[in-house]
Amino acid sequence: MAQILQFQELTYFYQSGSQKVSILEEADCAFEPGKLYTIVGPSGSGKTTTLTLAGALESPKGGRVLFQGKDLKDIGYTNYRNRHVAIVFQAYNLLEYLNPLQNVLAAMEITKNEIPNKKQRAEELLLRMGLTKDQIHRRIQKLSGGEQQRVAIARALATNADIILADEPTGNLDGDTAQGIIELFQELAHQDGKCVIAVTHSQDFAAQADVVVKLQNHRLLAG
Amino acid sequence: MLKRALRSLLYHWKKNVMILLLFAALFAVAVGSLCLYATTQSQVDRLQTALGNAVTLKGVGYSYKGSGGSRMLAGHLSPEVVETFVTDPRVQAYNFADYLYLSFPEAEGVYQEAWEENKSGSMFTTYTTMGYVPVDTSLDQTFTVYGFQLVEGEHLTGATLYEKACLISEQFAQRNGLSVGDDLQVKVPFLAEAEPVALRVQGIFSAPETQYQITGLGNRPEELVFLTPQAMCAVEGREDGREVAYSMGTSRFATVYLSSEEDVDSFVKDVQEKIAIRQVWEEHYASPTLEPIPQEYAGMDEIEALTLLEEQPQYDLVLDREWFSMVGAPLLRVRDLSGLIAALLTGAILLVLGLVTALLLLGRRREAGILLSLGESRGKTAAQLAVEVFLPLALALALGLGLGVTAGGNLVEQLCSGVYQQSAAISQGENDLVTHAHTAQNKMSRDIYTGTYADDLLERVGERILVVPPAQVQLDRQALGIYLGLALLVCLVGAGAQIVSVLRLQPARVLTGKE
Repeated sequence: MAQILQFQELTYFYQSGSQKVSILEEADCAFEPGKLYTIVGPSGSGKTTTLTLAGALESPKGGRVLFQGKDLKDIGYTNYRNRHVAIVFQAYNLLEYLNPLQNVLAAMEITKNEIPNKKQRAEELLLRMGLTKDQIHRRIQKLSGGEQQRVAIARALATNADIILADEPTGNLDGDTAQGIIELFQELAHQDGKCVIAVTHSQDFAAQADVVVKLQNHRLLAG
Repeated sequence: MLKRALRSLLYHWKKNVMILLLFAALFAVAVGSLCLYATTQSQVDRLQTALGNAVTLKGVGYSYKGSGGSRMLAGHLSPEVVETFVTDPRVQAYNFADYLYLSFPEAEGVYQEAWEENKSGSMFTTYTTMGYVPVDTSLDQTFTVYGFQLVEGEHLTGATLYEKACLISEQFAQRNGLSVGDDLQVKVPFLAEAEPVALRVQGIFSAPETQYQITGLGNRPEELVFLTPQAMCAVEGREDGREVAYSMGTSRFATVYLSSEEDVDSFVKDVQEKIAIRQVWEEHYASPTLEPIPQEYAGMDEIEALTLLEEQPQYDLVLDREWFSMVGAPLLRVRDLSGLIAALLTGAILLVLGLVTALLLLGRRREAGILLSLGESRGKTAAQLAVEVFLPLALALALGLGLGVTAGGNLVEQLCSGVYQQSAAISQGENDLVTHAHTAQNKMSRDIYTGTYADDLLERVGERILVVPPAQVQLDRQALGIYLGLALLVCLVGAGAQIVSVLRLQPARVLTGKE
C-alpha cells in the first residue's frame, strides 16, 4: 500500500545551554493508511518530538517529512495541519472559553475539509466518546481529565483528517475507557482507512497496534 | 473567528471589565484635563482680547454740585475723534457704548410686581429700565468679562449698526412670551409725546448673578436691554443715524482691541501724536469716571462750562493690562497646571496602555498554539487575538471619551465658573482696581454687574465685584485627535510586538510545555 507519511533522513536536535541534544539522526520511517501505529521508547527519548514533527508543529533540522510523497514545506505547514492531520495532545490543549461542543465545532470551522451537519456530527462524536448531553455544554474546567481527553479525541476525529496523531491518548483514562479508545483507533484505521499514530507507554496499547515503532538510538525502528 | 473572539472576551469578562473600567477612568481623566486646558485657554484668550489687548479712549468729565444736587459735565467723544482712534491697521475690532432709559408700552418688566411696591423711589411713572447701546455686544465687557452669555440668537455687531434690534434677558423674554425674531415696542419714558418704536429681538441672554436687591427699578442685569445705535436714534426721535459707526455723540468711552499685546505701546504712542491726550492710565480704575471740576471753571454757569469743555475737550487713554494680569493670573495657573496634568497623564496612560496590551497578549500564546495546531492560519490567529485586545480598549476609549466630555465638561464648568470665582476673590479681593469697577463704555458710572449706579464719585458705593469670565466648555479637537492617535499607536506597538511573536510561534513549544 502506498505510504501516506514518510520520514526521510529526519534529523532533529535542540540546544541545552552549550550542549546539543540529539533527538533524531537521519531517521527513516514510513507510515501507511489503514494502520494503527504506536511509537514506544524510553522517557525523554523524543517520542513527542517525533509526533510534533509528523504534525508539522515544528520544523526538522535536517531531512524531510513527506505527505503522500510531497514535502510538508511544499504543501505548507498550515495547510497540512488544516486538512490532513489532527492531533490529540497529552495536555488536551482545549480552548477553555469554549464548551466541549464548541471546541469540536471550532476545529470543524477551521478546517477546509467538507463536513456536513457540523453540529450534529460534533454531538454524535462527543456522545460516542462517552460524554453526556449535559457534559457537552458544560465548561471545560468542570470536566475531569479523562473527560477532557475524550473531548480532545472527539475534536481530532471531527475534521476528517487523513492522519490522526495522539500523544498518550489513554494516559488519563480508566481501563475500560482506554480499551474503548484503542478499539476506536483500530476502527478508524481499519474501517475508515486513517493512518493513526499514537505515542504510548502502555504495553497493552502497543500490543494491540498493527505496527510498533521503537525510538532507539535516535532512530525509528518499525517492528 | 469573531465568534470565538467574543466568546473568549465573555469568558474572561471579569478581567475585561476591570481593564475596561481602568482605562475608561484613565481616558476620562485625561480627556477631562484636556478639556480643562482648552476651556481655560479659551477664557485666557477672551480675557486677553477684552483686557490685555484693549485700549480705551475716554472723554474726561467733571462732577459738581449745582442747583438741584449733583451735576455732571460730560466730555463726549466726537465721531471724528473716534474715527481717528479706531482706524488703525493694528486694531482688530472696536466698541463704544451709550445708554438711555426705556419703558415698554406693551410688555411688563422682569420685576413688575417689585416695581409696583417700590415705584415711589423711581423718577419715572412707568416701569423703566436701562437701555445699553454698544456697537458690538460680543466685544463688550458685559459679555467678555462680566458673565453675560448669549443663549439664543446673535449678538449685535457692526453688521447690525443700522438696524433696529435688541437683546433681551431670558427672564424678560419668558415673562412676555418673546422669542428671537419677535418685535418689542419701546419708548423713552420721560417724553410723553414720543412714539413707541418696534425693535426686533435679535438675541436672548442670560444675566450673571448679583447681590443687588430686587426693587423692580431696572437696575439688575436681567432687567437690562441692549440696543443697536440705530435703535437708540429711532427711540430718541433722531432722524439721521449715519454717525452711529463712530459715535452717538454722547459716548464718553471708545475701546479698541488690538491684534496682539505687543502692539499696545506703539499704538498708544501713535494715538498721542494724533489726538491730544491728557494722560495715559495704566490702571483702569485708578481714575474716577468723573473728576471734581477744575478751578478754571469756577464762577461759570452751566452753559459757559459746557461750551468751554466742548471747545477744549480732554481725553485720556486707559489700559487694562494690569487688570488682565490680575484677573488672568488664576486662570493662567489653572491652565498651566491642567496642561501639566494632561501631559503627565498622557505619558502615564500611554505607558500603562502599552504594557497592559503586551501583557494581555503574552498570556495568549498557548491559545495561539492551539489554534495553529488545529490548522488555523497565523493571520487569523493574530486577528482573533487583536480583536480580543483592541475591542475592550476601544470600548474603554469610547466610554472614557463620553465620560470625559460630559462629566469632565460639567466639572470643568464648575471649576472655571465656581471654583475660579473663589480664587478670583482671593486674588482680586485686596486690590483696589476692582473696587469701583464699571464698564468702560458707560457714560455714567454704571456698574452693570452689581447694578449699582451713581453719577457722582462721592456718592458711589464702594462695592467690590469679581471678574469671572464665563466658561464655555471647550475641547480642542486637534489635541484630542493627537491624543487618540498616540493611544492607538501605543496599543499597536504594544500589541504589535506580541502579535509578531505569535506569527512566528512554533506551536510545539507552547503545547508540549517546552516554553
